[in-house]
Amino acid sequence: MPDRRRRTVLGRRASRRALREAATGYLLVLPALATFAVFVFYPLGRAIWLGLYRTSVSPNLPSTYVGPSQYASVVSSSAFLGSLWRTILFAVFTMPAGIALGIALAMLAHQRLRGIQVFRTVFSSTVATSTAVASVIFFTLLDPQIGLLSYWLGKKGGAGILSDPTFALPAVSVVSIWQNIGFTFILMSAALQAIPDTLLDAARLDGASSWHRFRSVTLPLLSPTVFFAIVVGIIGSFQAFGQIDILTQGGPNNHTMVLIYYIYQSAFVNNDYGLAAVASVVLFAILLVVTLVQFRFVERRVFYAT
Amino acid sequence: MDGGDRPPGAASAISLEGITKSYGEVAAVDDLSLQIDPGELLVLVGPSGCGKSTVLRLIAGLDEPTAGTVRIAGEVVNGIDPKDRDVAMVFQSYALYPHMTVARNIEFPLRARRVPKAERERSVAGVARNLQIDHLLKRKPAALSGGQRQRVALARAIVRRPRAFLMDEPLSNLDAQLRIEMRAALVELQARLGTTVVYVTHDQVEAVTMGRRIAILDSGRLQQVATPAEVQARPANAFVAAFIGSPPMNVMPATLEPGEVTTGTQNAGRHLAVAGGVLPLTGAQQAALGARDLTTVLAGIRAEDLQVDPEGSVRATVSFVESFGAERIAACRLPATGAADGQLVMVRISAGARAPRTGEAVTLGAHAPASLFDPASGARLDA
Amino acid sequence: MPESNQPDTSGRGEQAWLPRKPLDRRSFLAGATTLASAGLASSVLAACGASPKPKTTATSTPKAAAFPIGAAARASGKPVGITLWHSMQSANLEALTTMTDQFNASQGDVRVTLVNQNSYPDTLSLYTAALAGGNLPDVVQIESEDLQLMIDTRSVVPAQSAIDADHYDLSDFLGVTVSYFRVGSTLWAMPFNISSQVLYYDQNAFTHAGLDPSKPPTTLDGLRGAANKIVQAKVAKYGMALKLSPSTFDEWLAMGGGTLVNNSNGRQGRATRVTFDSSLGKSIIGFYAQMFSSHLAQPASATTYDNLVAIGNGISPMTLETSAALGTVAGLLGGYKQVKLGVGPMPGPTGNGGVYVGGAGLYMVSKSPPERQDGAWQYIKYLIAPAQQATWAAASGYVPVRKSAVDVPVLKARWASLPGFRVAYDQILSSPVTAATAGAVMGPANQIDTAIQDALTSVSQGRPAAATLAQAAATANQALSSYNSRVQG
Repeated sequence: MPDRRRRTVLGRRASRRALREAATGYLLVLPALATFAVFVFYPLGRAIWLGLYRTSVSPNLPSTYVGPSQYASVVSSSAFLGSLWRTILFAVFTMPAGIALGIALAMLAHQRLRGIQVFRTVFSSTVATSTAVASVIFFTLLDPQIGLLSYWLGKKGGAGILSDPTFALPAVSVVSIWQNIGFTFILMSAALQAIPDTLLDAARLDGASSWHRFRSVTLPLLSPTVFFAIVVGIIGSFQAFGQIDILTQGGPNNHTMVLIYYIYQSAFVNNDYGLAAVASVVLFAILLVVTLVQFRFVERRVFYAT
Repeated sequence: MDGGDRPPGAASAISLEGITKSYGEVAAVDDLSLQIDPGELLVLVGPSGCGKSTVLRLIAGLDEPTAGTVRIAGEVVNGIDPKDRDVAMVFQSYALYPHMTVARNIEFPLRARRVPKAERERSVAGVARNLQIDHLLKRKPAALSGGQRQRVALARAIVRRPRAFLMDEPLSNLDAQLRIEMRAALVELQARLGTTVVYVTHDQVEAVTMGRRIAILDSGRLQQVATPAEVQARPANAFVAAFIGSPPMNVMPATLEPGEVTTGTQNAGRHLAVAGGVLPLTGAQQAALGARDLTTVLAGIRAEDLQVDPEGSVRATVSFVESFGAERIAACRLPATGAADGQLVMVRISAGARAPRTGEAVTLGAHAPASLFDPASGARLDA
Repeated sequence: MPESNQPDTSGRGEQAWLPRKPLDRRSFLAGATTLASAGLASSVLAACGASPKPKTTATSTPKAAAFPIGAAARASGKPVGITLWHSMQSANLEALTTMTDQFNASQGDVRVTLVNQNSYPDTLSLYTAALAGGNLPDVVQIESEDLQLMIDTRSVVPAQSAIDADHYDLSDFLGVTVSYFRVGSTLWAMPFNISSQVLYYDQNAFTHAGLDPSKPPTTLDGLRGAANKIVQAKVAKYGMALKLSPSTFDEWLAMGGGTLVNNSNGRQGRATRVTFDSSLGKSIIGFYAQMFSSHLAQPASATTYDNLVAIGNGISPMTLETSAALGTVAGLLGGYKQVKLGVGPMPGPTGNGGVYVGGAGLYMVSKSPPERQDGAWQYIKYLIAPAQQATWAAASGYVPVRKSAVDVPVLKARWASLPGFRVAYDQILSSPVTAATAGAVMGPANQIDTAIQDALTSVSQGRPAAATLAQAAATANQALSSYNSRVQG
């Protein structure tokens, strides 16, 4: 049956081509894959492995294999759980407020006014500020003896806001919000500019008040950007380090001991690399889950323009 | 120029009185006065950048005029918020809310006005049925074709029964076929609803076919407001003459020469000399010109008023012949004047007549008097 | 005894893979930032934290074998180059550089290169990082409280072995400076830059409050009384600024004759439990609570010099601060014309104790070859000689570690013009050598510090003192047992 043979030959040829295409594809992603393997997967594997050891007080000395029990004991320890709780609090303090403020500033700067460019520059200026600089600025502002903010807040004298267990985390959060506001502002400004003016004109004619226009038109259309800011924000809050290192070093009384700082202290102050590895792996897992959940569930409720 | 013999007043659905809108030095709209009758479909037409969309935005209240008064149903609406002007707008981009279903889009103006739910649903269903989009109500705009989006945009405008519709090039994003269908549908819809419509377009064919009256705008100034027939027959100036009609009127420089040319009805003491040929002047034109000291004018003559005529005196060479269905237009080049190429004039070949060949030397004759325009201002001389 | 603990040799197969290379803080931050977006901070740890290292090469305890005295002079390639890692800045750095240049010029056997590692914590983490693989210095300046950790790294040649081999005489040294670095009968590091806490106060404020500016308070009761008088006379808002710093608490504990940890402050055996929650500890934290609640003392941050600024701007005319800050204090308060700075001995609980010392010691590194070990010892000997200690103390404000330095003209002259600089020396000199005044030697010193600091913070917030201290003790005990369980790996 010549027909069938022909088809088979063709089929074989097609499958060979598909194979070749697949091979080319894999070849093209290989550099990225190799980079990930070397800098992400391998270190991750090592960290998981390291978490099975009780490391010595000094890194030149032998470690003891303790097995998965170290994971159990670290994860159930009050220090770890406390730091996780502080991290969640930190995210709750910084993210909604930061995003709301970013949107508010972007709305303000979106007006067509003379000299609005100056405000845009001012609002986005914190992007050019490093965490260290922002932290040092606020450290000075919050100083109980010479700080302007302390003076205005009526907290002059005493040990200061940053040494006050009640206010330390909120204070660090404010610094983080301030530092990130430029980025959020730019993000939201770009998103606002992408919303066609005619939509808002249409809504005005349709009788919507300015709040109604914002809520029913602007905000839904900003939602992809807001979603992006939330993902970046959550990951960012889980990795906030510089401001805490400079402002409070995890204190007072561990009130700013977020997970990443706990890991840092365990590893580089207490030389407890095994414990730090466990906490890092858990942090990784948490962020992975958070990101997956966000993409799985939140994304569905987000409008993406076509 | 204003809306002609109508006095500005309470009888108009929309009345613009001396409207100016400036952006810095530039006047987008310059001292415009226009009355729109209740239930009228007025087409505002002009080339892009002429200020026609700005006029619409001034009526809607999306922009405020720098000077002048806007009235809707007799009441001055300057400074009144768009939502309180009770007009609806259909945008060229449709401006559908992309995150809302069709139903929610149509419902939006009712929600904004806190119309009760039951009434909202009834209205939306009614309008959707009316515009044959009831099967699309659950879709998002992204899942609709251009024509469907257009209908949804219309539905959203119609649903709250405004005092007027403002339509800003609503058909220009549609393909040609659909555009022609929608034109008819819009005219029919407007007649049925009886609502005042101000319809903005840059397409003069659309303007001529849709408007009972059309207002022609150029560089922020109103050029002419009249019925399509009048605009075509008696363009107010050279701009209108060259803008309206397909093909537009041939506008040629001409000189006034002494001596009477007698052809049938026409007789006078002077005649027009165009590119070596001779065109007659009517008595009324003679009288109008008599008051002025002019030696050159712009002569406008429609393609349908020209013909290839062995008796004619204007010599030309056929450049090409275009056919639009039954209609044939010959583009004929007049003799060169100096270094410049001769001007192209459009000549309609009457039904049954032989079409000239490309390159053929012909003579052209006119069977209607030319429109005459001032060469400096472009204004009609025999108004 | 820590030094008697041999590494565990009952190896398991898994131990062939040992975490070796730790991170220093800078590369951690860089790495963490890079990987931040991927949420892979964990991998940074691993990237730098775990490299295979065969068990057989694990460093063993340095044998107190014969110290190679004279090896530098006998070395074939002279001069022998050695390196000191230190954390001295500004005026102190200048003085150290000058002394080192002079040492290099004074002989031909040894050439010292100084490496500035910025701060004590940085030096320590760079040092432990280098232990796992990297270039080690021959001498390293380590903050006093990290003594136990340094012992536990098994990377140090005890100063004792050089002293024994060289028949070096310690009798001229101030007792508590030596006792601080001695565990059992072994002196681990040579004391180099030494300080203790003193009282800084504004003599003018004392006068205004009707106090005798030449007789600053010396006891806790006296301190409270003076503070009370200052507040009553409305001379200042508070009587004093009291830092929420563990060093003041620790100093008071030592002055009252109490220890911080068991086994005689870790001197007779590895510390396994804290003892600061004793009745003495309770009375000290009670003093804090009382001073704060009665608004006689203003709580001040442990990590800044806000307490000194408070003297300057007249909010709190007294504070307790390390004597090493005197240069800074004098400079800072020079800007406040109305303030006349006074320095008094550390007021504290009366008892059979005395002050213990802070500062840093110089450690010799056991990985260095004999000629460099000897070179290190020659250099250290030079730095702690009376003439150099006098120069050092005069330039830096630190206390000279030996008595004969006081008779050297440069220091005499300095102290004559600034008598405040002598106060710390006198109180260290008079401090009896006991387990309490030796200070605590304990592995997780940093964590225990934090526990105490947290307790002080809580007390400043009005929490009950005794319960807070008990909580701190529990946290510290936890840290101790965790640390101790990791000593052998």
